Amino acid sequence: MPHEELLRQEFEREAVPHMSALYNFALRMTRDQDDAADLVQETFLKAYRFFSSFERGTNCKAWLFRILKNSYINRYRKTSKGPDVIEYDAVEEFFETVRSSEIETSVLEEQIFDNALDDEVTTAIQDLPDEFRTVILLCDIEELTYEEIAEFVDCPIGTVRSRLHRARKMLAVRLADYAAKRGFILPKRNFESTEEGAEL
Amino acid sequence: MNMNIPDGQPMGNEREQQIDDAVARMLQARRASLRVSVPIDVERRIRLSLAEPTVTTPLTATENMFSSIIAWFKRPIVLIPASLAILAFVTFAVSQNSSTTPVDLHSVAYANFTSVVKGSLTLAKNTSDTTALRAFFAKAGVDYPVFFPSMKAELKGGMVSTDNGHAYAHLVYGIGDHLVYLFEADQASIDSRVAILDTVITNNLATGKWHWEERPGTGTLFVWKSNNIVCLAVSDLRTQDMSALFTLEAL
Repeated sequence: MPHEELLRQEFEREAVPHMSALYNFALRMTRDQDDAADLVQETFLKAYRFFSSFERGTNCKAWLFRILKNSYINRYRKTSKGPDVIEYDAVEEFFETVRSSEIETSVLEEQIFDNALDDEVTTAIQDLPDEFRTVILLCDIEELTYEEIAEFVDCPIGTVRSRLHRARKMLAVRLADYAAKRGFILPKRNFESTEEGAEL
Repeated sequence: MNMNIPDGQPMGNEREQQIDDAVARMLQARRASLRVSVPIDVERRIRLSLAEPTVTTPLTATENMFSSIIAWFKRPIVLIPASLAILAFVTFAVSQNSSTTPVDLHSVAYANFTSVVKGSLTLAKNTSDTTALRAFFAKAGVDYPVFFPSMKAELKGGMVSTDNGHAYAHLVYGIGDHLVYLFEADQASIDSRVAILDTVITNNLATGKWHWEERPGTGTLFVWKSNNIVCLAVSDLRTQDMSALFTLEAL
């Protein structure tokens, strides 16, 4: 069998199954179906062209994600229509504002999270700033390792862990808000008014 | 900050860790429902594009004739005098700066590669040290940041050509018996029409795509853009082998 045909078959076996994962991530990052489709197509074309350089035995999915990231950066650097860059300091400030004060008073996180609607979770993820959304998606949805995520975001593993922790916490705050709006739990201000502690 | 914590609840880091774990568990349990599958039409489009063969430019009558001439030149009896003549010509072409004709990057890349292979176009700076090469290029008037792609090939060195007052950087890499020649031009020189690029390639680059073409008997051309630098790499390797040299993440 010709070498190129073997490569094509291997690509079909190793890379193509990750198409949905890439599309899902691309959609979350671009927030546009056409842009996501273009980005994934570009990623696969590049990956196919360079499949010979893929190091066998390593994680093909992580490799594809790195290609997608570069394509994403190049595309938005060119078109300047990417999501607004959010200042990390502003995110830190936001994080400190919500830190512990709201969700530490609740005893029902598990129930809140279990009862959250998929749409609410999706929206909450979408509302996260880029840096935080990226690590949540790569870790909790796409199951990449910390090392692979660190390589993807070009940060030390410690930063990935910290960012992931903060992202989950922001998500928890948002889901608690949704739950409160649906009447699942009382808003935080009611807890604060209780002298003896929180009661539902 | 409100610190009312109900009885029986852990405090501080332990509590935060519990929230962290709860969110992680919730997301992991919902992986399938949170994922959006790639639409069928998009998947079909991608699969079709993967099945497209590499662009192979067929030889035109002119190119056939050119190949025949090249074959004749390869005969030992004419090789040495021809090389000397080409050397003189290329030296003139590379160093001349009074021309007002735009540099056709596409054609020049192929021609220079042929000259490099034949030894008629030689390196002005023999080093794999990118810092030294950067300094060399800057000193020679290259006013854009030269891009050194990460390649599984040895950087041999570089040279500079000057056309219409613009200095361009050229790099040569080696792998085994093969050479990869790289011609870099800044986007500004293309925008100002000091240098020109084939429309198909220009359109590909404008939409973030790469351009590959194979010319049987001449070489494989790979064109991509890194920031504002247009890079044209030519080699006698086939597309698949040439693409395997590049580290994709670095392009």
